[in-house]
Amino acid sequence: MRCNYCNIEIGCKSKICPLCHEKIRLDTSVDLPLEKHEELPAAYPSKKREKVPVKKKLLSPGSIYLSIALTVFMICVAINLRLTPTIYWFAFVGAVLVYGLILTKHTILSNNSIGIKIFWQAVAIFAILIALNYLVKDQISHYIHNWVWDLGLPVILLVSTLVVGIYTAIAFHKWHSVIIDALAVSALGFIPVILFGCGVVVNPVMSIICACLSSVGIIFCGILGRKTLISEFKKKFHV
Amino acid sequence: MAKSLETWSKLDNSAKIYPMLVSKKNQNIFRLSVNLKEEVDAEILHNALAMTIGRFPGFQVRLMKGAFWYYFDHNFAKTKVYPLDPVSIKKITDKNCNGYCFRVSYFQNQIVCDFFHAICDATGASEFVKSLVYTYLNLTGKEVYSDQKIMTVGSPVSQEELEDSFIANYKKVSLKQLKVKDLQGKKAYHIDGILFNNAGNGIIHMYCDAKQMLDLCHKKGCTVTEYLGAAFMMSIYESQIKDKIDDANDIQLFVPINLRKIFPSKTLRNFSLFSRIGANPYSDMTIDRLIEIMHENLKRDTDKAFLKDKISTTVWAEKFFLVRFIPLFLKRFFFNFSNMFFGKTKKTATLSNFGVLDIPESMKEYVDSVSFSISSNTTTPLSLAIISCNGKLCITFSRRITDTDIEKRFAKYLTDDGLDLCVTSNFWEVDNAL
Repeated sequence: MRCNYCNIEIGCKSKICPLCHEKIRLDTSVDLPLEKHEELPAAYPSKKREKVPVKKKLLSPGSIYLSIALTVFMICVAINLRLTPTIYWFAFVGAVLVYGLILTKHTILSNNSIGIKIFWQAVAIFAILIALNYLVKDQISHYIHNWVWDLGLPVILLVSTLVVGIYTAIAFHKWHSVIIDALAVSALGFIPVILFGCGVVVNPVMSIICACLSSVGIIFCGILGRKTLISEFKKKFHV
Repeated sequence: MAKSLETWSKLDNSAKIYPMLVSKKNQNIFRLSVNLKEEVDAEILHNALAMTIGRFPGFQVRLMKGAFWYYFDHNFAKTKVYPLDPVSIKKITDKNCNGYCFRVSYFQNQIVCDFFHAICDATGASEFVKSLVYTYLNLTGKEVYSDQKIMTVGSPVSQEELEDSFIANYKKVSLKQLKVKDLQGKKAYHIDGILFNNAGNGIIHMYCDAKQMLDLCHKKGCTVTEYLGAAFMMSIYESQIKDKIDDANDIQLFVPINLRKIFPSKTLRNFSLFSRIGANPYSDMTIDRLIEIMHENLKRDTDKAFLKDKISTTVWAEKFFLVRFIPLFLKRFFFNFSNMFFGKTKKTATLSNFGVLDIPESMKEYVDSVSFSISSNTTTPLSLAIISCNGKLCITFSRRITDTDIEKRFAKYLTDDGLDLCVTSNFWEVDNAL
């Protein structure tokens, strides 16, 4: 079948010309039966147009969470300032909501590696502790405000090292993909000891335990996965 | 097989840019589609792909992020074939292709292969496609012979296929010797039009007899690329600029040059550079003048010494220590930023002529035609790709705009010159066309 306007033959199933979009007419100079139109196969599968991207964007899980979280936060701020203006507990609510966002976006819905997920979890939980500390430090007499640094941070990093260590042990068949993460998370365990050196951490007991566990993690990575580790370093850090 | 093939590899010099330019809507993808004479059997195609992929270690990879550069890791996942998606040249992601940087689909009698440019260029991809179709035909019981034209399953993999030919063909140059100006260009005219509000490209294939086209080009004293490039620029001018705009920038076509024809290389990875061909819309707009411009520019840009300098400049940029040690996320930011403000403002459209896809005589009986398409994007919304196989030449327009006026004018040029065109489309711009 032909388009007489464009002077071309149309090689696929169609009611219109692909170029000028005029309705197909039977070319009288070529004696083709009308049924020939139907015999031609379609060049491509019939389209299911992906419309409604705008609606989709508005209703994504992230945007729903964000709008609910913002509403809750604003209500809490209003209630807080109205009823208990001396205690800013909305800061804690805010921290929990931020944690919720990180939990959904960077942990549950994310394709990130285990190391990055644990890192973000540690950061978020630590942020909650900081918020909590800020909230209650003026409310309780004889409050040891440095507990976040002395106890909170080392425990979070200790648990992180343990989780990544257990995951690495379970996922030993894909060591190459988790070993750098295990090493990086273990290395984070030295932060409390460094902070002790800087004077931020006052009571170093948990920091030392955390650093010991991190050392064990690093040694295990080094001994058991030396080859994998070297190869992964070459891959990830090649220039 | 060599140990190195099964672990990881760096991206070649030109591939390094492609992953950095991937955005939500855009990705540099091209498609090679083989139209067989009978319907494709999905299960046999699946088996053929599973067999073929083992022969091509450069394709059996997953793109990974490193601290400074992307790299390819061996992909242990199983390959899959997919029913052809109506969204043509759809993005290739880790999720929708099992981690591979290519996708094999089927529809009626078509075997459709989409490739992310990071793993190969069209020449490399064609070897893979030829091998896949050859294996498929073999599995369907057809008597086909490779005639030394196919990289058959089980044939040895040479290191030359996997080499970065940019590195192999560059010479060390000092900062002063760099041909940075040759890589730059003037601002270009941008094709205007209403963008599709959904993903996918509008595709129009124009098939004609390859001999008829060659005869026409001989008569005009030019090559197929020169003739079609001139007709393309003329169509853009008449459709968008003539009697409409008084101060349009030059029409600048990007034409990839296959460096394998100039330098000794058997690589299946990227080994091409672009020639930038510009024409003034107010003084150069006759077909003969445009053919002349195409000829002059292509002649200049295929000069071996000139290309060697260009290769050296691009490799120098990759090896420059500051570039090497910038973390990947900063590189991505920089490339996207510079591309947004400088890169695409210098390109009107891409024209890629693959040339002839050479298949063995015994396969010609089963292959009707081959088409080649390249993805277009929102800033360069129209691309033209040409391929010829089995005596049929296929010209494919892929576009992100709804209007088909440029294609209509282009077809008119060809038919007025006596060519018989057979046109097919995916009718992305209209509903209920079928």
